[in-house]
Amino acid sequence: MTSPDNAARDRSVLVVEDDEEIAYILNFMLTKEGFEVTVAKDGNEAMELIDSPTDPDMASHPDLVLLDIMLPYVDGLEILAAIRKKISWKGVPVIMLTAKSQETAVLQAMESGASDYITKPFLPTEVIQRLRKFL
Amino acid sequence: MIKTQTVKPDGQISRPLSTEEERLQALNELRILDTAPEQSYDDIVRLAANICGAPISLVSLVSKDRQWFKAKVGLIAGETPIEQSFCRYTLTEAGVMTVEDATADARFSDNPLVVSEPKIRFYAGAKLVTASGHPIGTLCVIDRVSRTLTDSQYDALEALARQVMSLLELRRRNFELAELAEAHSHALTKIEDQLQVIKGEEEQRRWSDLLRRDSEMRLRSVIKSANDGIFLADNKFEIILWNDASQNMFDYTERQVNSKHFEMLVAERCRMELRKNISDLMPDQDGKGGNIVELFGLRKDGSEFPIELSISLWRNDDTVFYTGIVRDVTERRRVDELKDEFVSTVSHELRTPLTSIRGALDLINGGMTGPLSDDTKRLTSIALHSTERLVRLINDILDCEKIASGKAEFRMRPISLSEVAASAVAESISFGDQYGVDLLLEDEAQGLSITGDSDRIIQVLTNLLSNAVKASTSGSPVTLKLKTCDFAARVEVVDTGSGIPLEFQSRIFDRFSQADSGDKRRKNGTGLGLNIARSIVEKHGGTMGFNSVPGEGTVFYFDLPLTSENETN
Repeated sequence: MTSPDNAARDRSVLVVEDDEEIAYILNFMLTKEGFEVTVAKDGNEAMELIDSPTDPDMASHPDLVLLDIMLPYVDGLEILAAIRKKISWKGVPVIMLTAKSQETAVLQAMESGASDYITKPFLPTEVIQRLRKFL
Repeated sequence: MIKTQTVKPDGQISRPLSTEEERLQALNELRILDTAPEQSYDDIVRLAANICGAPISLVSLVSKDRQWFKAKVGLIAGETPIEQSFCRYTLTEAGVMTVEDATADARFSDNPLVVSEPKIRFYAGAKLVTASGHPIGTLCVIDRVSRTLTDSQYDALEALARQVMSLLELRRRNFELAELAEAHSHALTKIEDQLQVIKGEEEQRRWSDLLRRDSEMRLRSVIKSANDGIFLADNKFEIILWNDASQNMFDYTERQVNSKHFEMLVAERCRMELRKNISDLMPDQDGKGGNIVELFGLRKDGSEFPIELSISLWRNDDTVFYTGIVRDVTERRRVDELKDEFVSTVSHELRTPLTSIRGALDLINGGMTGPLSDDTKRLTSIALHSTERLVRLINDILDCEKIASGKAEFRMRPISLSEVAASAVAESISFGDQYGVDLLLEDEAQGLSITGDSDRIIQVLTNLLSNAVKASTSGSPVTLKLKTCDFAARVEVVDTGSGIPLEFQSRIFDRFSQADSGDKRRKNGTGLGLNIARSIVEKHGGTMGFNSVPGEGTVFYFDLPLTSENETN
């Protein structure tokens, strides 16, 4: 839709989060902050978005991905791997959303090219701060 | 002058003269010398005197140096020296020796018994010959006048001599019998005694057998029915006893493991550890020093299962043997895993809704949904603070579980203590500001390196710093001191606050323990921080402690081993 050079209003964020309420809060907050938000509610939906660059809601790729680690069907690590393999998504920052009990998975994610991670339960303001580092 | 007759006592053929020694022995065997007078012998001498018409008659026994009279008539002396004896000559004569006139016989003419009282003139003596042919004395008649005996008187004298001998033999035989009887009875008593002893021993043995068998049986039944695998091995580690539980666990029968090294019971990759464990065992009479090791058991079919093995070394006199107790911990491991999974799931499940609550409150509180009234803002702030506490609690519980179960990952690497301390102070400064407490760093350990997980050490330090800040009054500083002592680095967090109440000091490291404090701001801890901090220090091979004086302040300290790099420096 828009080029990455446009203002924050036009920046797009893909939120991959299976918990509806958390997804809603992230969506609410990011929208208020002026981001274009797409929510994938499980691993399958996320994989579909990655595999079809012609998605009408997306440009060739989102400007940033907020990716939950524990997801139904396909977990966050696999999705991360798929993102990092997709050449057209090269350089897209991926911030992992994790629970504290998933330290091993976080390490693995960071080694597999995740840009940062935020531990649940996170504060929306904290998310915005982290996100600003990349956009 | 001398009349000699052949004597054939009891039809026995007369023997050749015995040597004097044998004769004396034969006499001694009769045990007649110096015995009291006896009627039978007295009767015979009286009879002999009567028959022969002689005033004196004697039963004379000729010993080595005297003749002794067992019976006598017409004489007062009980014995005479051998030199005065007529009878000694009789012994060497064949048959009865007769001296018709002693004064006319050169052997006796100057004999005091002839010269003076009783002035013997006539003597006739019949030998007393033992059954074994030894002449031992005489039955003799003596007169003060010279005379002879008639043939019938000779016969009578000989007959009576035989009677004397019979009496003596009888007496001897009685003695022998008595001795025999006594010997027999003695032997019998001895046999009886021995029998008694044998019986006693037998009885004792039967009892001890019974008792031993009984206690052995009891012991066996305990070993047999135990739920844990129990085995015994000799000094060569070869199995000599194997109970049912062992068989069920490993699937080997006793015969299959007999005389085999018990190393076969653990997985090959665990054998080094087992060997080390065994070599560490100290021989002890009480079988102490047994260590419990967690290893993997190896079944007959090659499958593995987690076990807890306790090996003890026993010394009994010169024998050394080992006992092994095996516990299958498959189930316990499974329960542990379930527990870990449960804790992790619960905390995750709690975390998700908390994220929403906290996120929503944060957005409202931040004015993203529009401006708030002061009342609303205060209430949402309270809700937000409570949520923070819940989050900390969940995190700490999870931390406790992870560290306690050894699941926590420690990324150990050489780290600079000074850098770590500086980071912790920097992280805590804003917290100190909230309480008006300054944080100071006194670093006397510049350049010291320890091996550790820097995040975890920072976690310990920030926990101690925040505790110290909460205990301090506004305006008083909290100091973090780094020192070295021996081969350890010492870290101290010093405050001049309220101190730890004495009654609370013993529970300070317990989980969910919090000192009662009237100050509400201090009550937002989880009660897990110190427990976690100490666990982390212990995982680093260190120790943690404190000194506190209520009203004056507290020093929390921990020591961490220095890396060898420092030691060589």
